[in-house]
Amino acid sequence: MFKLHKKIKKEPVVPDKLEEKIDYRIFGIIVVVVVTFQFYLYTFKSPDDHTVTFLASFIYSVTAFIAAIASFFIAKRYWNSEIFGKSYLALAFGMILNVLGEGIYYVLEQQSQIPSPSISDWASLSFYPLIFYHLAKNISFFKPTIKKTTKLFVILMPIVVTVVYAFVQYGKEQAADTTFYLGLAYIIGSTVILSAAILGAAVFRQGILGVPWLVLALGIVLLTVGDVWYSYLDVFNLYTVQHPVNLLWSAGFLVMAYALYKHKKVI
Amino acid sequence: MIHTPHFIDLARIADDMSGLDTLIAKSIELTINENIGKQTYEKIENRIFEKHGIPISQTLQDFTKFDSFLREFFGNSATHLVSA
Repeated sequence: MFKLHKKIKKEPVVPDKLEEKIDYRIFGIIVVVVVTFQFYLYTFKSPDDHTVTFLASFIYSVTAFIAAIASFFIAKRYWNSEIFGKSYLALAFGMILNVLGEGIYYVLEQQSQIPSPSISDWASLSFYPLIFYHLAKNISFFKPTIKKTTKLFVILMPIVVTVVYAFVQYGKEQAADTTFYLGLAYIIGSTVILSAAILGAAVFRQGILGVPWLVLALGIVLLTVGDVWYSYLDVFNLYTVQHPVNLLWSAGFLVMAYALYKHKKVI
Repeated sequence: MIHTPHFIDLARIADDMSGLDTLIAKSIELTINENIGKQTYEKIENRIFEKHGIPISQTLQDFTKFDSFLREFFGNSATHLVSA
């Protein structure tokens, strides 16, 4: 018997609500890449080997540079627009200053000079006001109605983390110098931007723009944990380029690059 | 003696309404273009057309509908975008 196998062409269905999902495989790839790299440094390289410092600086700079390129790309897309154009350009410059800071740190270390505290810290610390400008410009434009509990969290979180850090570190024999105050500057910077990023994710939560903001906040969480951990290690001279803290920065920059890709995709 | 009109000029009111809608639509277009880029405006415009087959100016006649599109993109803060 003749059976008609006619394919019925389905009309494309317009989604009732726009949805954007996080691809968790990207996080998996980021984790595998940074852990493999760090494992390689830790297992196959001697701490005295000069290439270790180079490779550690290289991966930090490359990941920050990837995030910078992604930011420039978004800034170019929204060129001349007051909020997106300017704020993404600021973010891109912040990332570039991070690369510059790392480069200066590496050069000073190679010349047997003190790499930190040094001018490299000025470059690295400049990242915070620029990323804060990016977050504040976006959030303030949308003039969100913020719940009291969110407001309280946003204000208290940086204060609590900074006070705990200062309480734990201050008064230690090793801590009573510039290293302590420099660490404090990094912690204030990173916790303030973390607060702003969480606020941003909460503001855009219900819309598809909430997805890139959530991923951006996650990237900043990784950078903040890295900064707090580094500041602690630095005070006690425990930091090495093979230390796992390096994973957090590289992963943080790559997660931020993914957030920027998501932003480009949804808007 | 003042004579009150015995009829309401519906055509004129409709024209005025349409003019007001166009004005609001232009103002929203300008706000979005200037602040968050032309691409963003086009994305919203395409989404409205894809779902209802109508331009932005027509969506403004039912403001809650337009607001729901903005919320799709920007979440609860979308209302403030229009008032910006």
